[in-house]
This record gives sequence, C-alpha cells and structure tokens, in this order.
Amino acid sequence: MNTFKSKFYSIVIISYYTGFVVLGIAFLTLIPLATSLLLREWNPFFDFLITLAISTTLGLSLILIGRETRENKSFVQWKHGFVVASLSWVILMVLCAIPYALSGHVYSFLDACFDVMSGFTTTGLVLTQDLDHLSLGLNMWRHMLTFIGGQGMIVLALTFLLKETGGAYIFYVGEGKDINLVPNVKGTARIIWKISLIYLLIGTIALWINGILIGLNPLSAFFSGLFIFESAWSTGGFAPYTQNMMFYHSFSYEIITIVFFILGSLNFGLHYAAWSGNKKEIVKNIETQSFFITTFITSALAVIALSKSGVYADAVSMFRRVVYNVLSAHTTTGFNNVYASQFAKEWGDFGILIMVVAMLIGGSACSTAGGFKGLRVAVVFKGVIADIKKLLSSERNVKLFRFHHIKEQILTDGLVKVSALIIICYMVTFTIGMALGAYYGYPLSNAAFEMASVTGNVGLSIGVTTPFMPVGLKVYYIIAMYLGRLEFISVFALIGFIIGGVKKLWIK
Amino acid sequence: MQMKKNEVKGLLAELLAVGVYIAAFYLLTFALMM
Repeated sequence: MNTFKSKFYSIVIISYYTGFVVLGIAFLTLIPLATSLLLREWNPFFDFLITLAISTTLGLSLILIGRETRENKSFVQWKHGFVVASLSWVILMVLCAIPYALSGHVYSFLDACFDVMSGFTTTGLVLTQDLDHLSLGLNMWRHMLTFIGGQGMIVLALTFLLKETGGAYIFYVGEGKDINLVPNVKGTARIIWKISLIYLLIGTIALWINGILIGLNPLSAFFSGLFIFESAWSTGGFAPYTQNMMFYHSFSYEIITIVFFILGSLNFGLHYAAWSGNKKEIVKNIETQSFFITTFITSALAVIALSKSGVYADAVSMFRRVVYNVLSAHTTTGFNNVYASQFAKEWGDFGILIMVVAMLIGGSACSTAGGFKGLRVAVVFKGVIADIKKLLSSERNVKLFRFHHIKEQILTDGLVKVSALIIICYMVTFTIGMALGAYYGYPLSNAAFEMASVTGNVGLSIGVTTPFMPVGLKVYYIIAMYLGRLEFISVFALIGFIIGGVKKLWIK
Repeated sequence: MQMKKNEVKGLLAELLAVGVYIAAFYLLTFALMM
C-alpha cells in the first residue's frame, strides 16, 4: 500500500478512470459502424472500424496501467475527478476526430478536432466541408457526439461501465454538472437518460412526420428528424445539411425545434421536479423566471431594432428570422435560418450586440446549454439587489435573502461570489478571443459575435469560422469551447496537476 | 422504459408551458410590429 501511495498514486487512478471513458467511446462507435454497415457505406464503415480498434486498444491499456486502483479500492479525490474530466475530453477529441479526418471532408486534422470539440461541447460551429454529401454513418457520429456531449460523456461511461460508483458524483461536477437528483449517482444518470430518451422518441417522431409532410422521403425524413432532435435537445446546432434550418424551409419544423431546444436548455433538476409531480416548479424556479425575462428583453429589443431598419416586412417573417435566431442564441443552440452574411450586413451593430448578450447569458445550469447560465445571472442580480437593500436598511437589521431553485435556498455571499467569478472567467475568455479576432483583421463586431458564440457554446456564425481562418484563432476557439463547457474549474485543475508534476520532477 | 402517470403529466405540463411561451413570443412580435 505504501508503494502504491507513491508519486504515481494519482496518475494510476486517473489512468484507470480515463481508460473506462475511452472504452465507453469505443462502444459508441458501434452505432455509426452499424449504420454504415446497414446502409452499405463501406468507406465510413472502415473508418469507424479503425477508430474502434484504436479506442479499444488505448482504453484497455489505460485500464491496465491503472488496474491497482481497483485492486486497492483507491479513494477518488476531487482533483482526480476534475483531471479525469478535462483529460478525457482532450483524448476523446483526438480519437473521435479520426473518422472525420479519414472521410476526406476536412482540410486538416485540426479542423476535424475543431468539429469534434464543437460537437462535444454542443457548440455547433462547423469546419467539415460539403455536409450535403456526408455519409449517414458520419452524420450519425456527429449528431450522436453532440447528443451525448450534452448529457455528459464521462458520467455516461463511468456509471454504465463501472460497478463501483462511490466517487462518481465527483465526475459529474468535473464535467460541469453539479447535479444530484437522487442520492446515488447511477440513479441520477438513469433519470437524466430516461428524460432525454423519452424526449428523443417524441421529438424524432414529431420531426419525422413533419418532414414527410413537407416533402422529404420517409428515410431521409427519419434521419433528419433524429439528427435535428439530437441537436435541438443538446442545444448543439448541427444539422445534416449545409443550409442548416433553411434547408427545410418550414415554419412548423422551426416551431418543433424551438420546443425541444427550449426544453433542452432547462435544468435536469427542473425536469425531474416536474416529472415527479411538482409542476409549479416550472413557474416558480428562479432560472425559468430569469430565462423568461432575459429572452423577453433580448427578443423585444431585436424586433424593435430590426423593424426600424425594415429588413423584415411582416410579423411572421420577423418571428421566424429574428425571434427564432435570438431564442436559438439564448438557449445556446445555434440553429440558424438566415445566412451568416445576413447577420453581418442586415442586422446592424445593435442587432449583433443583442445576439452577443443573448449568447453569453445562455441557458440553465445542469442542462445541455452553455453560457453564464440563467441561475448565475439571477444569483448575481439578486446579490446586487440584496447589497443595495442592506446599505439602505438599518445596520442592526440582519435580513436573509432567499431564492427558489428546486427548493427554497438562502442567498449567501459565497454563492454570489462563486457565480460572479465564473461569469468573470467567461468574460475574460470572451474578451481575449474578441481581441484575437480583431488582431487577425476581422471587424470588431464580427469578432465579438463569433467569440460570444464560441464562449457560450452556441454555434451561430457571422462568417469568421471557416477552414481558412488563422490557425491561432482555430486553436483558441477549441480551447474556449472546452473551457466554456467544462466551466473552467476542471481545466484549471488539469493545468495545476501538470504544472505540479513538472515542478516536482524539476526539484528532484 | 415505462412512464408513470405523474411523469406523463409532468411531460405534458412542460410541453404546455413551452407552447404558451412560444405563443406569447409570437403575439409579442405582432404587438411590436404594429
């Protein structure tokens, strides 16, 4: 045991759990593999076979390296959870990029990694070329990754592959989802997956029928329905066609996607409360209230600004082109039904500013959405109000401030501080990226729009994201998507772990 | 994967809430365009 508590103690634990996550992804490649086999798409079939072989070998090797963890029943600490989460995402990005790179639809392996990170983080920005001629196998892979990325890949892999899940809650937090619906983690994971799969069934059927009604053939309507639902629910923004939602040219199709991307952007705790009989939670919850207020303000301002410019003549086109895109931005989905150049040329600086604000605020905490999250915005706002009230009241008067989120909670200074810190981290990431975009020669408004889309894991583009953008900007966007999705702490833990290790080696 | 009665009611309540929300935003657009 003493030997085990040596300098490799942490590396062994991290290797063991990371191995299971990699093995989990290897299992998932069986789905696109089967799709390619059934549809006789032989090139993608072999691409997935190669990925499966590499992932399985790597996963088993990592488990083998860390096998002492199981033998000694080692205790998982917070730092291990954070490092496993952040490290796994990097390894999975590289592994999952293999089918993209082999498909010939990307210009470089970096572009493939960009698209995978965009999918995992439910961002939705695309560098893959000629989407209209992509195999169904690779399309299945793209949309599946975004669907699973939204629910949490590490939790999925660890809860279903490991028998012992004593420390699994740590991995939830590590992956940016501090959620505990029921005391045991397997139960929580099952609830999350039950809710998602039931909606998957309803959403796919609704979009499938709608697809047939608008003239798609049944097979294509089915795959479109499945892919679009996966993107909507995970607030991802990927679509099987280059023109995104414009391809379907259908108001009803757009309405169905709004329903599911709004539902996807809600907290899983809220879904669970509503499904457990507490329907009033939908109205009482501070996050839904915050979401309603901020979407109301941003949508109204965008409609007012764009009606002044006269781009959209009637209320229906205003709803379809403006409110739809604002809601898509605010829920961090990224479905778009206007061209990127239209944002740049028709929406004006004020319209772009509204979109930037909506994208940065984002959806709910512990949902599939990105951005600051409504809960943090509401907590900081309430904290400011509370501070003002404290200043105005008598000093002897000690008053507790509360808010309702699943249950009545007390607004503490610590909670306000943590929320404000995370918002600051987002803003710093956004500002650096915007400055970098401006440095590379993009207009400031375009750089701000694209960077807000990246930081908030949204996926709307104003035209900056192309395969020909500077490599430095591509790499920064990958890092920003990753930071935004994991909400900074896990990545900081990984950096700290690496620096700590290097420091120890240097001293020795 | 079976759904309990409460769960079905919860799901319908969520769909209804989002439906009302979308309708409200649709009306808002009309009101602002007038």
